[in-house]
Amino acid sequence: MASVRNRNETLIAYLFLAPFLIAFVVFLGYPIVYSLYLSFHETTVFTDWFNIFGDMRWTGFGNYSDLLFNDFEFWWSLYRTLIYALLMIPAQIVIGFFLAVLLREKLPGRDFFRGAYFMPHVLDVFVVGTIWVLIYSPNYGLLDVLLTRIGIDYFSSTGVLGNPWTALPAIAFALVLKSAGFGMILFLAAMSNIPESVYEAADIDGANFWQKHHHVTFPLVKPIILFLVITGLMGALNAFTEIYAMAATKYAQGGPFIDSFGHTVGVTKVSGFYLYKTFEQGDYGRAAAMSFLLLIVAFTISVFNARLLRSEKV
Amino acid sequence: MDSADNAPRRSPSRQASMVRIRKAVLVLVSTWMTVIVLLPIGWMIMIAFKREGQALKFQFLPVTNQRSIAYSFEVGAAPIVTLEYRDDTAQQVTVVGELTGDEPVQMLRDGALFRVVLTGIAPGKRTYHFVVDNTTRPDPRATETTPVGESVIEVAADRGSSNGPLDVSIATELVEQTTSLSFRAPDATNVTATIDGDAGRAVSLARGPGGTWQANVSGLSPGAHSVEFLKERTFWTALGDIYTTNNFSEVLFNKDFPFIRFFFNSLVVATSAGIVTVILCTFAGYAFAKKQFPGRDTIFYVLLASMLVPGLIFVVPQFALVSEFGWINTYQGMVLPHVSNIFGLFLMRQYIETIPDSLLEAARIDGASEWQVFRIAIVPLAMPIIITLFLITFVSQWSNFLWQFITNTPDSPLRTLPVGLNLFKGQYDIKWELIMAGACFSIIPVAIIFALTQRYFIQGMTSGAVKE
Repeated sequence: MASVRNRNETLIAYLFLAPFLIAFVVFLGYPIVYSLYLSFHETTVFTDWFNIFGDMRWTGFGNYSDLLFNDFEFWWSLYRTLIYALLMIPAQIVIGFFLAVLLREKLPGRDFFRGAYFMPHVLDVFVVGTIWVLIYSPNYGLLDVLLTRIGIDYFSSTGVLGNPWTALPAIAFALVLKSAGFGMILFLAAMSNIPESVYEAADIDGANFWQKHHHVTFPLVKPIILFLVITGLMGALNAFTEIYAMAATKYAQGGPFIDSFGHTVGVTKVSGFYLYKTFEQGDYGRAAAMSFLLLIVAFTISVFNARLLRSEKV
Repeated sequence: MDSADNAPRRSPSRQASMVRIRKAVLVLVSTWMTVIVLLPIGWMIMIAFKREGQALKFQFLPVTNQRSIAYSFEVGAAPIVTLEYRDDTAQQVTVVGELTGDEPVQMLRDGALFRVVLTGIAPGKRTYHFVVDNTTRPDPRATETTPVGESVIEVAADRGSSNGPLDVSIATELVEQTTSLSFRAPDATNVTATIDGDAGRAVSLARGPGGTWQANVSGLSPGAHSVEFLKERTFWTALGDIYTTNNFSEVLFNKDFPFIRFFFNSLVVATSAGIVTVILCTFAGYAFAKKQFPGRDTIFYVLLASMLVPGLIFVVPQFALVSEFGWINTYQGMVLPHVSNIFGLFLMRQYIETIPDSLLEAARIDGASEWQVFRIAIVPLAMPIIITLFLITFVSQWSNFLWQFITNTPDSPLRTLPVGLNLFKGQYDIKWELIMAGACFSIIPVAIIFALTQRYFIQGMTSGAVKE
């Protein structure tokens, strides 16, 4: 009797699970396996648009070794991804934390401010990036006009996004402003777990504003910081849309370009964007191999982060 | 500021005012942060309302009182020829032809109006054309044009000549020596003229037919004079110089880039992705939260591990799959690859776990079938998280640029807003007012949805991160 009921229960559970699992296997599970298969192949002749994958040739580890040992641009793109992450993550954490501390005060209009800071996070990256292109434009863009008024016309010839030193920081800045609210929400949630009495106790002990947050708030929001670091690294590895929106014109994609070790490389060509370019050129096997190399990077980061989190708890 | 160590004996009233000042400073900082964070959105909206040619100018407040340049004229001189040309964007206009003896004569610029006065021309028909910033143009006001495209003007012997009615006309009767001034300004509330500078005479003009303002001045001494017109307008009329609402209708009904269609496509993609995701995740979340079955933990950890895979990795094989299915340029191609949302599954599982088992048991005892238990106990109680997941999925698929970009060919009728905007940007790369109007259609709906349903978003985003 009991086993019949169990079998029934199992069947029902799987029926509820089935739609999700089918979609998962078809659109996420199978693609991973297929991607692995693709990564050992290379495109030969470009056939037709609906059968691009039909005509590929086995190359073994050719794609991988080519990327690792012959492709300066691949390593460069990883380097730029790291730079991008380093520009973005600390700023996002600091600003998010600052906003959360600000909103912990019982200010009038607090809910409005919270909504305003968080809203950009849900907006379209491509469209917001496009707006920043206008703001960053030379001569007529808001930023250049304001800088020119205070006597800095350094950006008037190329624009912020056309200058190899400022292009990536400018993109990172736009993204930080967009996503600072996300960090803020997480910090706020973590801080709401800190009872008010702890702060009152700190006040009684004579702790000032900074001491209070350094000794009370900061240790309790550490897990959030680690979470933001890992989502930030994943975000940097996945960065494509913002680069495409802000650093890709009809003529030059991933620019501005500089010379590095005898190679001409784009300063905004982060690995996600480089992967897209490889894919766009029809180099599917190579793109798939690159995906797996990036997966290894992401996995290493995750494992490292998990270790870090575990050691925190002990 | 509120530390106790540096001011041990503070009077209560002083302390209260310190608290107030501190609060005011914090509100000020918060407001500034709001301005910075929302700057792109504000800028987008403002540029979207700007008139063509105004988008890149750094002028935001209208000019209500507009002074014209000083037009010079001569009382008692021989008949003259006056030509005018109106162009918002031109920088330099010259007139060339038989009329000027084939010598180019530069026209005087006053805002968008270019004007020239030519003297000493023998009566009869003369031909001419304009050169607008190095491009040859006929005079649009000319009533007669030669077969080769030259404009023709009839120069009279006894009076001033022009082609069509003039925007600025200053004519003096040879006999009575009365000067009639006429200034075209249909949107003005008042027009005055100052003759011979500030020390000279001020004349008030009266509204005449066809949006012109007129006045007659007598008693001017023979010889050279000058006149300046001051046009006064209301603030709202003047606003029309800079701002317009036309950009929105222009992009909505654009022939090649119909944003109304893009908007509809985005709506279909985001809504259906939201609905399908919610259904799959609620089913699966229920199974994981309330059911015991073999393989439960294994499946769960496989799903958990796949969350670590950066989304970009799926792009190549998913594209292969979708093109294999023949789903390029279809809604299902855009929607289905993203419906098995593992984050959504965890969100649902976590929430459904909090629903007490006793409730489900009670329903079962009442004879409810498994499906009924799900319908009447789980769905209503999980509604807040269902709404949350729907909204999060909706906005993330509304903005999923890369996937919609590669699964649509450039001429696909199913292009969504960001994809359409990208193509539009490539075509009209300097018409920023139109690009920004297009951007509004993507940003504003999401901003409104967010403003109305903020708490659902915050709940979803925080429970996803904090509890893991």
